Amino acid sequence: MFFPLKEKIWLIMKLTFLFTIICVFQSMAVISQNKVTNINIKNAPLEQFFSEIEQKTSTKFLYRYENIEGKLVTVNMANASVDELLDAVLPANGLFYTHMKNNLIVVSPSVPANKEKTITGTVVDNQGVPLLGVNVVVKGTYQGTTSDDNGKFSLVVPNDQAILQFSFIGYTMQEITVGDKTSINVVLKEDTRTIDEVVVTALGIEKNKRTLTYTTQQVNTENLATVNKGDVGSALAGKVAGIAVMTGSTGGSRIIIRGERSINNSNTPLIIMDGVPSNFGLGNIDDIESINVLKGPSASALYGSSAADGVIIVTTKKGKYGETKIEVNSQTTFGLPYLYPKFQNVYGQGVGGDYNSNSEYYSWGPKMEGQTVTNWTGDEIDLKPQRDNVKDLFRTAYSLINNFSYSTGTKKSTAYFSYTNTKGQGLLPVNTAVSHKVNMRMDTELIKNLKLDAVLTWQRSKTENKPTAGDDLFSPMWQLVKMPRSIRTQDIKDAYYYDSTGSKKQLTWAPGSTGNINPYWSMKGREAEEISNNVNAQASLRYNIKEWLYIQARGRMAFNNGNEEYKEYWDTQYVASGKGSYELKYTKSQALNADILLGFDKDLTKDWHLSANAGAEIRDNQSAKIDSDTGSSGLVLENKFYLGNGATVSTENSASHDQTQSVYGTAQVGFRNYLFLDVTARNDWSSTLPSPYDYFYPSVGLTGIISDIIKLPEAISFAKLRGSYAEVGAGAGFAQIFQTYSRTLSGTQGSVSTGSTKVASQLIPEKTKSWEAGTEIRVLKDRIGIDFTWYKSNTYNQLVKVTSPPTSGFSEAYINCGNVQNKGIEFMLNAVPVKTSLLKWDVNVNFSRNWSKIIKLTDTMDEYEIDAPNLSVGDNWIIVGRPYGEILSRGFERNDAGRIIVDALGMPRITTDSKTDLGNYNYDFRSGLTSNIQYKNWNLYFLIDLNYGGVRQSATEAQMMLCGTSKATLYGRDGFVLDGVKEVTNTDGSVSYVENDIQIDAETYGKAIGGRASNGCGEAFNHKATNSRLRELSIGYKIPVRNTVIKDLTVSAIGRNLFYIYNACKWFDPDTSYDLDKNGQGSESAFLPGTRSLGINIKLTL
Amino acid sequence: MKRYILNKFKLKLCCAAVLFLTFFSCTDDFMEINTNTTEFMELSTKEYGELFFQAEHVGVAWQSTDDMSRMSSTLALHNCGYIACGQAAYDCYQLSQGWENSGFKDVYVDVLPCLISMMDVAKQAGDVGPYNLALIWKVFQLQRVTDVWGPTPYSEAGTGKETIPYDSQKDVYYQMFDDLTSAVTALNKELESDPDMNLFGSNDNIYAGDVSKWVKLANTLRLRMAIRISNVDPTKAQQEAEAAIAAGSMMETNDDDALFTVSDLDGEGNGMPRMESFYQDVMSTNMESVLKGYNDPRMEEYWSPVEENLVNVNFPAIYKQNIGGYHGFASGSDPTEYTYFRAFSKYGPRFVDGNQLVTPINVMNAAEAWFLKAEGAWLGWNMGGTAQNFYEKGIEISIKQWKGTSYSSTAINDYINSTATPVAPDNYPYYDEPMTNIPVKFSSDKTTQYEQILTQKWIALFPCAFEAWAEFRRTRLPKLYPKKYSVNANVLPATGQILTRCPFAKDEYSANATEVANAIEMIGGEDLENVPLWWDVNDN
Repeated sequence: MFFPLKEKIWLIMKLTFLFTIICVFQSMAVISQNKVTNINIKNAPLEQFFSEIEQKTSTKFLYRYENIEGKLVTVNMANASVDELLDAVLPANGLFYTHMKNNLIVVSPSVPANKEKTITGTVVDNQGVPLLGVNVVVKGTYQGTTSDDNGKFSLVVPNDQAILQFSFIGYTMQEITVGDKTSINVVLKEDTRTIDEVVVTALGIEKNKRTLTYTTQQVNTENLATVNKGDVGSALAGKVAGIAVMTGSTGGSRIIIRGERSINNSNTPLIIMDGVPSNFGLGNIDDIESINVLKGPSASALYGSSAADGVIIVTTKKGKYGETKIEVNSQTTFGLPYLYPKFQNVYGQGVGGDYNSNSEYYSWGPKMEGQTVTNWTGDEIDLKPQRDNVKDLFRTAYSLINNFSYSTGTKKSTAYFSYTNTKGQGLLPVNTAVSHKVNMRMDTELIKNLKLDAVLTWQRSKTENKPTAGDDLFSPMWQLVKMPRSIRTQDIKDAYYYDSTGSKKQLTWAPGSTGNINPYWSMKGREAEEISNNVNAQASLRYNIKEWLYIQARGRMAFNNGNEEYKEYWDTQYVASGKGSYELKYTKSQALNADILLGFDKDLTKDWHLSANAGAEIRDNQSAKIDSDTGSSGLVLENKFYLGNGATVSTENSASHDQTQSVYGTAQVGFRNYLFLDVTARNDWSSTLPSPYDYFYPSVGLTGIISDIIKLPEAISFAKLRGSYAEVGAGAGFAQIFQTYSRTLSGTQGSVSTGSTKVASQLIPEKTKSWEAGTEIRVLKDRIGIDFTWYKSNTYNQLVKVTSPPTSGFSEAYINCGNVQNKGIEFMLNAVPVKTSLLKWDVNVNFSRNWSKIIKLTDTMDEYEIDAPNLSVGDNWIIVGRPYGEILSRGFERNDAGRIIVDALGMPRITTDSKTDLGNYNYDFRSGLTSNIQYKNWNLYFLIDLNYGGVRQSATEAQMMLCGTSKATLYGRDGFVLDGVKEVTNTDGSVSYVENDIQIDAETYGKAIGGRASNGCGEAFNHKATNSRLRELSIGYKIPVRNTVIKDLTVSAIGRNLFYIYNACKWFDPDTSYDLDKNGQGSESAFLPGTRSLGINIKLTL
Repeated sequence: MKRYILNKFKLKLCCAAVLFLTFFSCTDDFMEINTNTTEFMELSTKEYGELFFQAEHVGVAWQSTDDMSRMSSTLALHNCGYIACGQAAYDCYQLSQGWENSGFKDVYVDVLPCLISMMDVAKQAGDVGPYNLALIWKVFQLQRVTDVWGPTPYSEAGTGKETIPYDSQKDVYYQMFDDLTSAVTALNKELESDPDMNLFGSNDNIYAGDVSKWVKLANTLRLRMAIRISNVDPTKAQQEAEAAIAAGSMMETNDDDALFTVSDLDGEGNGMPRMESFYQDVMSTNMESVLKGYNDPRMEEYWSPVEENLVNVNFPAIYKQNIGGYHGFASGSDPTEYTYFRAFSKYGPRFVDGNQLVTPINVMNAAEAWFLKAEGAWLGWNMGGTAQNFYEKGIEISIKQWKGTSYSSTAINDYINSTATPVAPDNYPYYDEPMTNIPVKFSSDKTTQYEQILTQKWIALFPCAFEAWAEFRRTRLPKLYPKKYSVNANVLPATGQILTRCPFAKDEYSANATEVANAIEMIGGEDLENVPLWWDVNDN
């Protein structure tokens, strides 16, 4: 080898990419002056003649390849004009030409140059009902129109030889030669060939859907793009059977397919963008052509280790041959906050019923009845409820997403370019986000049968002051829910003042408080800026050796640079002892992929068909981070934010690197196009494992088209049975197999410390074994289709970071252990209840139920706390015999009858350990109903989902209970007796219970059960999570523009999360997550108010 | 021509494919790829200093910036009677297992592995000094741990095994005695050939590498442990105490004070200044009653007069009148009283916010050694002097520790001979009586002598709260005011109960369950915070 490995990949990628760009641009001749030129060619194909002229002049030719195929010419002319050249050559070959705009010359078979004429007509379906919106195009040209409400159209055609093409979604295209007709009436036939849907499967291999031995689900990107321009992940919610989507409290989404299986790893699916893994999520919705979800390991086995959690395949848009299109998508949405915690507006600041203007966070004061008090500013004011002192802080959020795309194509090349600009402001008045994204895709046929396809994307985004949720000083909502109910917005909204020395100081009713700051200061006292730049370049080269054999090589490189900066102003307690603090963080990552694939696809005999692929792949990921901050000593000069101003600066750097090399093969044997056997095999070598680094996983599947094998009743148009088995493995994390020591700056000479995680003594790769079976049935001429899947997967040998006894010297240890099982069913129904020329109604229903169960953890351990954000609520556990993701917290002690036991003071007895099981954060089942009704130019779309079961914990409610700010704290202000029992120890030592009769008051009660879960009683703040909402709605109108420039103009009113039909969590969204990266979910903690989004979407196609 | 190009291209493509496939045999550099470049994989004798520093630094974590509030303020400082903790629930006997758990982990996961790694390297290299210094610090750390939790792993602690057995507290103490004995013997031998032996130099933030001082600390620690078990195992106690005296010198003067220097640190410094601004800790009525009553010169060092501030300026007059004076808050008051917390005395001047990286952390005070000897002598052991002498020397050393070695000996003598007794703390709304009625002047009454020794030791131990708390549990002295309020049903002050230990760490419960169950059996079957430890023979 001449170059080290890394450079090799690089070199190949660079060359491939450069090559692509050059080729694409070359083939798309740029218009210049039409000059007289010299041509000397002998027996050359006609296309060479055209391309010579194209190269030497600004002329551009448009022709159908079959018209010039095989025609050879000999020309030797000097100083000839283009017309002279063409006149000399074309008639002899039975061709003639027409000049169009922009030096475009259309070459077509030679015919007498008839005059233009107007053709009118009507398009109806086979029942005679007029069809609206049928595309009528003169074949080979861009001339065309669409039929109106009555199915009528009118179109100018160039001559009698013109052929009109009539096309309409769901109908077979028809072509009619004009001839001497002036009126053409057409009956379009419904297209019944929708069965042969082609889907993109693993490794980008396109397969006929009927041959699949596993289930996949294609997502309708049209409605997706109309309603959701933002995060594509969140847009999948409710639409796909078997997937769970959580939305981040500050943006983003988390997708789980068929339940969580991994104890420590992420559980989120692999995203494949145009054939290669994506590091930057699902991309930009307007650039997406299709999304296909591979749910089970059977579907994804070929992707190997990273695909155990399913795969989402995204195919981006390309240009089309012979078609130029400009699309402008513009969406404006407003986020209106409306879900707030329920506050009380009766009692003011203070404790024990007494007003105290310095009470940091208690609203256990007197009734607010307008009495005069001296407040914290020293003013005498009337003590009145401040009903809006929480709402006042927030504003209406908005987002503007504008996308422009241009696509074009010649015979050999296509190009697609798009630019998307996103601009938004958040609910917090300091929060803004801007992003730019450029996407280019080009493909070209370099020489016959050799195709190159290249994608380049670049994205830059900048977020300012991304809100913080949860129990945090800089979480405005956390500060707001604690804020006494009598604090007036007018007194605190300035957030700061300048003292006599000119220092910026926090304006607060609780000076010196360490846990409470002015909510406005919590918003303005810290400035955060995050910038990220992503570049992704990929290219694939495919050579069709024979019609049935191809070889393909792909390469990709992706780079990400991140830059984060945090400034914390002086006068916030707990931040730093210096005069403010500053942090600067740089991250970079790089992903390189290359793969090669040999594909075979051929009928072996009349009955037997074989398609097979063999390939090899290499993936290499590196990342590095450097993080500097001014540490606990903070800044020296007040509020001057740069590292040099730090009293001490600590810097940490880290880096990781992993590489996976693989070989794989897949084969599908088809018998009479109704029985298919699929086999795949893959072997990975992962750098994260100990030598010999490798692991192997196979899959096998069988599918049969029952409706073709045996004769079924007429009503059943299609029936299929399928079954499969797969195994996938996974490597370990970077450098997990080595025990390390680290040196950190601490003190004059620094310190050396030992790693607190014990490495696994014998590390073996994780393995998931999965079974899947299903059926697909379509009846009534495919008007109703159902797809049912059953699956079961078990994940073994997980490399789990378990709690180690601290006394062993390690806080955690890696061990291979466990058996996590997920069983489930998925059901999809699609129906077209009404389909006429004017009205089409599509309904899709999906339903899924996953039963997860922890079969085993380790020999000595049967419960394990999974990683969850520290939100001051319950903990997330997995426990043997129970489903993944139980929420445990402190609870009320109860007697056998389930009654709460009170202590001697009449207060509920709370368990000392946090082991009261409050339920599971996963829903029992999920379902969604999508309906799309198209009537004339109108389109009505909505999505309602229903998720049943599960629980959520609310830290906000617990905190408000402690503070006396929630509506719930109104109960028993003047005393109450808790519904419970007293424990009585009888003389014989036995215990019995009598009805509680001890009076307590709301304040004592609230302070005892409220607050952080470690002190309070989490059980009191647990909710069922069942919910159903109108998740998406759009009403679109296609403006009937009759114009040769504008092809389509559709305006839609859209809405997201408009309202809940039912929400057991009442005031917060159960699908919102604090930290999307953690496996532990199900907790609410000072999330920003829930919003409903309303907006308008304009789509213009030129 | 075209065919030729195509063939040539095919050839190239095949070459590319072959080239490509050859990558896949390149697993040779996998080891290198999987190497963490920002950490290192082996320790050598060159890292002794850094490891020892880490063990010291984390070893004082319970008193350093953030853990200060967690382990010290909310657990030891108020349970030993020095302060009232502003977090009302903790001040009223609530435990926070999470914080105690992390304190437990500080020792076992951060301190111990550094020491064990050091000892492993030192054993291999035959380095007697580093080995035995690590051993002394290990005993210091684990003694503090066992005195909080009771039975704790010692013999197999830090071995990395999947389960780690708990040793009974008696076994822990016996092993610690052995370890200290062997460490002192070995180091004394080294010192014979090199009296100025220095190890780790500036990496040792306590004694700057002075090995002879470490030996003094080890001897004092041995005496501390002997006194600790004197009520439950008097024979062993006497034997160890006398052996400790015989093994060499104790900590004697303020030069021997074990103070962890913070001035060269980045980050975690002394936690008390942090608490001063955090305002979670104020003087307790115990301190007020005793220090005021004795007119103790240490008052102005330990505490500050109440200042008018943004918060207390609006307080009712009954609290506002505290401004300007030294006032203690009754630890364990009714929760509503904590609203007025900021009308009480914060820590003294050296603990003012901003001194986090100035004021060293008290690890062990030399004065303690004198009081230990005083108690030994009081018990009739051979301590080389009388209880009264030791008692008075202890007071002198303690006052000098805070007021400086040049502090007037007349003033010290006046203090020692003072017959003044503690005063009533004038605390609204409780108006407690004086904490006790003993004077400083050494009594002739044996029982009073005992109370005097322990009360003065209590004052002198400040701010070493964990030691003060342990001694309070062992002796129930000084006669601290009982807490007036408890939120913990297992600790009812009305029945004379106090908090005697912490329940076993949560992570141990989940990862070392069988052994924890055994440990619970050792303490009588219930893992409660009211169970007296082995050396605590009091009813609770």
